[in-house]
Amino acid sequence: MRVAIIGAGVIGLSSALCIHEQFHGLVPSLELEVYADHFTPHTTSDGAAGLWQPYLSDHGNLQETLWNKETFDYLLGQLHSPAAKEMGLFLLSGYNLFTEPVPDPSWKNIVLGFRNLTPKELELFPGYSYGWFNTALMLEGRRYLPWLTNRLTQRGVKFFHKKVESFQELFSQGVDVVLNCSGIRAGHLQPDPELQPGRGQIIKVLAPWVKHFIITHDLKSGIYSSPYVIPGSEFTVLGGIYQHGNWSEENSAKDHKSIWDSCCRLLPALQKAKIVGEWSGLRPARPSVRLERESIRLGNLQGEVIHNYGHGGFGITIHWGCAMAAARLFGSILQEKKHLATPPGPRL
Amino acid sequence: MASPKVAVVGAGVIGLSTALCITETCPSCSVTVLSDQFSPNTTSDVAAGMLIPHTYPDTPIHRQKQWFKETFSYLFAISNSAEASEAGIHLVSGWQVFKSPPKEELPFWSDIVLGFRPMSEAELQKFPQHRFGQAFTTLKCDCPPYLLWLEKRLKATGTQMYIRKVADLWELHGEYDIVVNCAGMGAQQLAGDKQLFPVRGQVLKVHAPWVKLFIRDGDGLTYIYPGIHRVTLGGIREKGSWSLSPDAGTTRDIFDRCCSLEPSLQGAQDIEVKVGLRPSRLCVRVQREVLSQGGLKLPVVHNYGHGAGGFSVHRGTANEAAHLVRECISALQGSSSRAKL
Repeated sequence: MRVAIIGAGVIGLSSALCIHEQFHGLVPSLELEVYADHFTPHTTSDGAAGLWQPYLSDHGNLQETLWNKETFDYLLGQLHSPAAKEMGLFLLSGYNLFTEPVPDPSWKNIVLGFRNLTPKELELFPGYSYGWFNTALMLEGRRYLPWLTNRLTQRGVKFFHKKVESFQELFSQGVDVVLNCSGIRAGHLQPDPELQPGRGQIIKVLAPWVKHFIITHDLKSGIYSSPYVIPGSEFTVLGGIYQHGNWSEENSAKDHKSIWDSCCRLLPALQKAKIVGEWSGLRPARPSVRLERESIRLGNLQGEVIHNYGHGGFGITIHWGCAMAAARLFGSILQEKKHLATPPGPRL
Repeated sequence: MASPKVAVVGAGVIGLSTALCITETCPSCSVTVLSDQFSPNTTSDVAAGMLIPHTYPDTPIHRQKQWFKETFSYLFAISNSAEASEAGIHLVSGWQVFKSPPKEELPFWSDIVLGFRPMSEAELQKFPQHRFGQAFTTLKCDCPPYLLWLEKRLKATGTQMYIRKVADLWELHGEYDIVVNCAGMGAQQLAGDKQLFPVRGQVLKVHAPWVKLFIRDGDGLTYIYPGIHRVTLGGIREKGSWSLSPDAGTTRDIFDRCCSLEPSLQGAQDIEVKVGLRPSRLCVRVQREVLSQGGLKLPVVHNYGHGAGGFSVHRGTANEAAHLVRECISALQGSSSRAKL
């Protein structure tokens, strides 16, 4: 049973790990292969700051809220394990700032210690009159992806630096199941007009005195188009760009100025911070995550595809819930092919 | 008295902040700081500089609260300014956890720090040995940056600073009009104060940049305080010990206690061990005194005995001491004008 995972970002690698963990003992012939045109540190996941935080509203998409919760709870459980440091996992508290009162988010009871900001706290952020404080998690892509890669390598999963041009290409080589975790480039494998880039740009600075994330919101401009500051273990990420439909991965001087000026206004001490890097990436934005099975038939070639892409700016936030869901879909495929008597795994 | 000459003895957080307050309150003064040690070799440099007050048994609570409030406001403004990183002042959030319910549900400072509230059940799950906790956001003064920043501000006012061991306050008579005693543990000798005693502390300063939250056991003995570049792990309280040598057994014990609160510290690197003697007293001595000896008089303002709580109240006590210096000046001017009659 050959399974090919397309994509080596957080979605591809975690889905691969989830499937291997759950099924390798049950399906002796299971062979996993990861195909990607980019590996860490050159994936979209590597550029993300790594803060666990869903968007403000789930738009009634309860499934995604559950996957977010599953991810948070899973990571929280890993916090005290010896692997946490290597995974790039740690607790981080911080602020969400608004210019007007907003309803509490779907994730208020998922994070730790969620509360509204006090008037004294709001004094720190002139121009913002409302906000939240909570403790969440950081999962740094630049550490998590190598950690996932190591776990997969230990398990005998093979990696191929290759741009897959079609699902058929893999089926014709004898692959039975494809996991499509191709993120922003999923459209190359199968057209999907709903998948659009949400271009972001970030500035990396040295500002080790910043111990909180600060995310501002401009409800008119939309998510991530207002300044944010997220301290990591090595550097602090300054951001605040979200450009729907912009495919450019080049750093823009105009965006740099916008990020720098707005973040320094938010945190005057940043003026003294040393800039150590800059990066642009394309959030794989979609009205909802595409996580579903598809049977592909072309001539005498047939295969199963599990799509798992379109996680926008919340890939790290939702990844484990989606990986588990993808694993369940894989389990049902195995059941149908009579590889398994009953699907394994916890019953929900 | 055109330009009263004020000597401040001591260059830790108390000496430097008091000197600065004096330059602000009495701009006509000429202030000189004298100390055998300057940053990074003061007791203050060992401390984490967390703004979590220590309760002095014999100082009225309202006075301690006023000191803390003034200190917090002063540092809050700096943390919010472009100077924050240079001054080493930053906000930090975290948890104070208790194995048994604390004596007071609401400490006197709970409305001064930010967002003080009990920890939620979910938060407490991270600490299986602890049953109760408080979450809040406070400020941290990283040393040496903060002391160096104070020194820079002092130099800008024309304050001179000299390395000099003052063995007796009377040495300074004639050279200076008023002496301000911020000598910390040194006040035991300088002021002959038997109520002052050392409480030896030992800390580990480690590289663990993923630790962004503070964790403190309510007993005050175990704490994890993330600073700008290093995380301070503590600690110990050995009353009466004058030893400045690190103890290996204590190092091991501190590390183990901190790892049980925050397991990821097992991966901490570059462990540096430091020892300091908290200059402890049942109440902080912020007081005027006129020493007299053989017809000679020496006005002294004392500001020492801050024990475990120096950073938390430093600006408040410095303000008070500066006002006492002003009173000394008025008294001197009064007596000198009387002398002219």
